[in-house]
Amino acid sequence: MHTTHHQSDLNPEEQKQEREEMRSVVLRPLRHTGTIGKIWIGFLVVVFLFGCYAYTVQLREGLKVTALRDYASWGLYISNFVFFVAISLVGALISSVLRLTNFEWHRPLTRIAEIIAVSGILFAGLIIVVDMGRPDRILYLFNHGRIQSPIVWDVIVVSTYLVTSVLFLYFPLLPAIALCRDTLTDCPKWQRWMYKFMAMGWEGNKRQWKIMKRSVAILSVLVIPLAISIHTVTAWLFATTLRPGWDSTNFGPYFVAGAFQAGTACVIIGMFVFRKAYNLKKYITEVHFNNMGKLLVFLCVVYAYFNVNEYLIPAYKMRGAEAKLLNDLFTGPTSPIYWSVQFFGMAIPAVVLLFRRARKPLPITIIALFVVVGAWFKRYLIVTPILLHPYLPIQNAPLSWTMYFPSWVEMAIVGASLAGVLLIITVFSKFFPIISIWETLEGEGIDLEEMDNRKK
Amino acid sequence: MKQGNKINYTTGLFPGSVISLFIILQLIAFGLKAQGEKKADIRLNFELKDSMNICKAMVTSEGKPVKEVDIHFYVKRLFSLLPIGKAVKTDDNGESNTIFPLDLPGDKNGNILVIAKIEEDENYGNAEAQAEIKWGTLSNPENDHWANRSLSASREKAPTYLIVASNLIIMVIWGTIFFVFLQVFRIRKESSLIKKNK
Repeated sequence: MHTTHHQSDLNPEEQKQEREEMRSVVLRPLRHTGTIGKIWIGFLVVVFLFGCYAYTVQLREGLKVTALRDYASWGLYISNFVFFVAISLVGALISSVLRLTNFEWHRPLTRIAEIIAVSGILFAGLIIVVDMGRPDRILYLFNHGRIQSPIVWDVIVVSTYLVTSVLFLYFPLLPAIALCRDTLTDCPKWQRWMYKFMAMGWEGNKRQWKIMKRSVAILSVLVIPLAISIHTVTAWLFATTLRPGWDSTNFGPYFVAGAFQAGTACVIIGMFVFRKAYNLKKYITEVHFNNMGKLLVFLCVVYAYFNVNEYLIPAYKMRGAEAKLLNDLFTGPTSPIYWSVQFFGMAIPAVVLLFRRARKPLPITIIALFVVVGAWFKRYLIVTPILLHPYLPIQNAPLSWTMYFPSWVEMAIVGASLAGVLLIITVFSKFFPIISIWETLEGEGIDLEEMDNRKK
Repeated sequence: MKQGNKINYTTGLFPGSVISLFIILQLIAFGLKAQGEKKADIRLNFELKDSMNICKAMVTSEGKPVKEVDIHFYVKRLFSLLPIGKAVKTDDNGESNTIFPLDLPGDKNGNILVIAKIEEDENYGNAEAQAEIKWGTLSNPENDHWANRSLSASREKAPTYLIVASNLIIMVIWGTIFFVFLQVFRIRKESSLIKKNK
């Protein structure tokens, strides 16, 4: 699977130097956290804790503290859930699709993509629990859940994808954990114990490499149908419901295309931040940004194609309740968000990134930020305005219920979930190398056995 | 402190007195209205004439027929009442007729519940009568989809193909995950570090 890399031009001594240098660069952030890093972690913890407090308010008072009512019964929480599921797909794209199709440049990016996937899917699951008025009834999903219900399919796929993504993160990480175990001997005792436990006695012998690489190969194949199904099932939560705007056969591929686009933008931001903060310029190069830029153009165009199918074809017909929804999106109160998302989150990035200069690290990261923010609001547009335009008006509902603006509790909890995702990524990068050393070196044709058989 | 108490006292009295006054006025109005309204009785008769189901409602008040009163006919359905035609006024004999459709779904015996109502009439207020008649088509609960396996049925009645397909997919995927998970322990087994420690 990983045998297509070229042989290195370096002599054995230079290769050794290269390995040592990479180890020291990659392990540096694990040894030391700067002031900005501490402020960043502190900020995330505060936002997260405030969201936890908001959740205790919701638990005590019930869902009435949210703006969710008979019309908008799914609001910010479910929009956020769809966003998290979307960004988690990128793990499959970068680590698996690019791996299987032998795009060698993916190697230093796999771990960033995988940790985004793991933290995204973890919080996707948590936010669903938050959306339940009675989280203590979660067991009922298993006791009383019907296999005919898309909600049960979603529970099954989310948990399956979470487990697979954790394994997919863990296997290629083994040599790095062993390196931490052997190198970071001055860290706290619990941390040393953690490395020792997680390394599973890794010493880099031939058998261990063989088992690990085979497991990674199996997971690379397994994760693709899982990633496609997790977002397709999320799309079916909507598409199996008879509502204008959701009643679409296009929804599965439309969601998957949007997910790859949003996730790729997330990885670009991650690349930029880690490159700058952890001084990884040598390993995450301009070539990576250039290639990711081209990939993002392609994904924006694919997503635009699905958007044309999703909006313009129903707009050609303009039938009944769907017309009301489309008018609201095109020219009504929701139109500023709709057009901003379509232009700043999709059309303009696709065009601007065609130029090589826009694919330099800083410009492409700014563009990626627009894409990610656009992607978040796009999920909001998919969920909420549609609920406000049902086929049949709901009887005896006060006028205020026909509009939706999230309450502070919802905003605080969603803020906490976003902070939580970033916190997991940040904390992970403080305990484990954010770049896979062996995969990157292997890509440069540097021998593996020698690298890890240092104990012998 | 005293001043505060005084303010509380007056603000508390004001809405209380208004509500009491409102309730008293309502009671007086209701009493006057009830005095003006007479009680009407409705009696239902069913006839089959020239293959038509005709429902007759006889309206009387204090033993005399009631003329020119709107009668609304309904059939009870699962959640609400299905109106049958428009309201029909009673004639000089206090009679109001309407033709019922022949294809109304009934219960398993073919019965339907017919309801005739006077609704908010100036003189008679509200009145209602209901009766059951075998005018409905037979519904066969044996064919009811709730009893069969279907996508809309209960957990136990899920379609067989769905149970088989979903379990098969879950077993294949989780079987593979379990196999990969076991590899973690195989890696551990291959370690000389662990062996040495033992």
